[in-house]
Amino acid sequence: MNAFFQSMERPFVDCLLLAGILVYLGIHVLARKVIFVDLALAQIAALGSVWGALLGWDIHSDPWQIKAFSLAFTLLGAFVFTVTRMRDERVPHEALIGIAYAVALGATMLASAHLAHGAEEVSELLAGSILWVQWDAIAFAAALFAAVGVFHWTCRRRFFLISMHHGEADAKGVSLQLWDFLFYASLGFVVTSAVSIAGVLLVFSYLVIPAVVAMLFADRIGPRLAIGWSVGTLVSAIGCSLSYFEDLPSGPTIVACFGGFLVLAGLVHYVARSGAARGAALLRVGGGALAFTALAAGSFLLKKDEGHDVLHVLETGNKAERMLALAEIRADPELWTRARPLVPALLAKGEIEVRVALLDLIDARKDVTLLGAVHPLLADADDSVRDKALRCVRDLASKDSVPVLLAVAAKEEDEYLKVEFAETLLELGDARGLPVLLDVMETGEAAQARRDAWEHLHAHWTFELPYRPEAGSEENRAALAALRRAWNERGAALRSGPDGVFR
Amino acid sequence: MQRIHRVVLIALLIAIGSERALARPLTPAENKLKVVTTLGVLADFARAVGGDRVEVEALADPREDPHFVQPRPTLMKRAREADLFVELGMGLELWAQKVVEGSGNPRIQPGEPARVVASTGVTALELPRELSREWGDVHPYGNPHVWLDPLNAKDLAANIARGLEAVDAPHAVEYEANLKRFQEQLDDALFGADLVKEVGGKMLTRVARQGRLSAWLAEKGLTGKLGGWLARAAPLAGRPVVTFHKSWVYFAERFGLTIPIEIEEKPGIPPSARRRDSVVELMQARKLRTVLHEVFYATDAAEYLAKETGAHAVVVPIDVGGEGGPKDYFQLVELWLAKLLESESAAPPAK
Repeated sequence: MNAFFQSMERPFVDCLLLAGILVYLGIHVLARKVIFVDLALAQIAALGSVWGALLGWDIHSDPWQIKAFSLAFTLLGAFVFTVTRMRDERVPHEALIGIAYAVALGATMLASAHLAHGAEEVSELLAGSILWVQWDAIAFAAALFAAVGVFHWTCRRRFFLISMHHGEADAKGVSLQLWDFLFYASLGFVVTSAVSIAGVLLVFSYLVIPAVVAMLFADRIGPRLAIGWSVGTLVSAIGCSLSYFEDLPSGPTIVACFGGFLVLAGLVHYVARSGAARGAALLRVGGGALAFTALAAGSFLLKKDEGHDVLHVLETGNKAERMLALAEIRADPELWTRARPLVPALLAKGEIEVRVALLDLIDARKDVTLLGAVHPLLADADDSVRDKALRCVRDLASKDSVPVLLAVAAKEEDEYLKVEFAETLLELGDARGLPVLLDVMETGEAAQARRDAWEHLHAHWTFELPYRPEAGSEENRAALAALRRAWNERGAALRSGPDGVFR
Repeated sequence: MQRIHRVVLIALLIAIGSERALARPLTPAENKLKVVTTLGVLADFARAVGGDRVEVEALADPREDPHFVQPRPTLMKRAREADLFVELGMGLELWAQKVVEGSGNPRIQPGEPARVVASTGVTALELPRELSREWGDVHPYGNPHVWLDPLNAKDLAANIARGLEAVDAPHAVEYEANLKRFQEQLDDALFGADLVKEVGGKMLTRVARQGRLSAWLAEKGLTGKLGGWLARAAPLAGRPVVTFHKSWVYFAERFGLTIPIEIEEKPGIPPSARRRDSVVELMQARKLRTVLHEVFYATDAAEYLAKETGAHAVVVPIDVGGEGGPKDYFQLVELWLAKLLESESAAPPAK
């Protein structure tokens, strides 16, 4: 439990702050029927920061300049919403707000198309990052929210009069435009700051859902506020705990909890207001819940069948699928016997990784029957396949490999592989690996390859000669010529001893 | 009125004509192959391999996330004129196909010789581990950030050379020579010229890929000869660093870093509180010094971790180009190493 508090302390405190100010503003927003004004204001503010970034300010290193831009745009947005409110609502205000949102979002996308981090900023705005919030950001938000709260408290009569009884306020001669502007501007400040921490999704939920629940159950401001704040606090606590204990992303979890809570509240309201027909209402709710559960459970019947045939996947899958199939085959000897007929074709035509993995598998199973399919890979175009094929041939240690090894050793360009081919020949008891090593010593480009060839030769053929791998081929010419001569004279008679040395 | 219309029409035609003429000047550039790549690094490789014969342009801005690029009309316009289109593949640039489709350029459609998937044949890390429905959600072809390993850069360049040879066969020899030179430069930069001369780049590459370079060098008595980036990165060997996205696995494999945890649990999904806490806990317990982070991700997480644990946020690009960014692949790798060495050589966090 302690770990929980330590972990969720900051997000939870931030949620409470959001609930504190947004529930209050939400009651206004609902009364004014401007539900989406917060989204629009947040988007206009985002457009402001992108505009600032376009003018050369950096979102990360010049945070204050960027904030100033988004603030200026917010004020502009507040002004636009103030002057577009028509007295006779010929065009619904909500329509204009929606339009403002769409246009601001479009403009943000347009502007960010020319901005390096544009797309990331836009998606960040949506999701928010309440998990990473730091105390200084919380303190700043708290101060701002408190200032707005105090301002609204002092002018509460005016604000509520205009929100709830618009016509009456107009008749009283209150300057509607001034107070509308003040309302939208303060809402804009709060929303912009809240969105930068919690994201649009969460801010919208805090603003609207508790206020809606409150409207269901109360008519006066006081009770509505009390209900809204309780709902906000309760859902914050549930959401934060659920996110922590079920290991889910915080913001979306809280939003989902709000949704669930609203459905519950709606049902309770429905039953409670049914009066005499309460029993029937309860029945209906129960039936509905049952039907919904059945529908949700039924959808699981549509679950995709995950059964798969490993051999079919091996034959027809893409690289990744084949690799997975091979991993399953590796673990199951019975599968291997069934897969074996497919192997030659795969070795010939499969992807590099598939071929390497198959060679590994053949090596591990010591399956000599497939040697014929492995041999061509000794001359494969890919280094790693050749290397692996050689290791496989070496471990299978069959005399059948000798003619193939001789042929590929003569053609191999990679000196180190050539040395390995020769070594394999020698291990198989065939002295014709020795002249291959001599080739490398004579013509090898890398000093290290010549050194390796020399060491292998030395280990299999006891011959004291002043060959120095570090020296150039000129200096070693005499020694190499002597070795060549010795091979030409006695090579055919050399036989491998039990210690691997040819005599 | 009629006359005015005619005058306007003629003026318009002249304007269009001269604009055409301006847009298509008859300079030697006319003979150059137009290569369009998705990423800046691929453009850099194409320049190295194509030399004077090509004119190369990258579509993605190096400061934006290469996974998500808006397929704008200008990108499609550039692709329309492309003689060769190079993408990395492995599902990294899901937007590339949209750009190609929008371009209406028949030569660069999938399967055509002028469409190069540069990652072909590169060994992928982190292929999905089980055959199930969920395995393919993120990267069914394995982790696509292959270019962060300089050895893979050689293969990417080779695939681009194959593509150039396919669309411009008469100059194949030239491309092949350029490719060889570029691969040698990479070998020299990675292993040091002395060691490459002694052992040969191919062998070093093979041994390094098998993950036994230092053991092999020790066995052959060549340890002291190792130079280049790998020698510079020696202090980083075995050092654990935290990264934001799963983009550093190839880099870590080559330079011996370990990545005990990524901040993102699944690429692109915001981490949960428990994930965040386990990152903090692990960083504190092991006194980790570095959070490695691409320039295009939001910095909240890195800043939070830096503040909580006293580690440094090392914010770097992973692509070539852009204003003030690395000019070529060599500078890019140098930048990664310099920043990491700086962060890792600082005192461990006090907390």
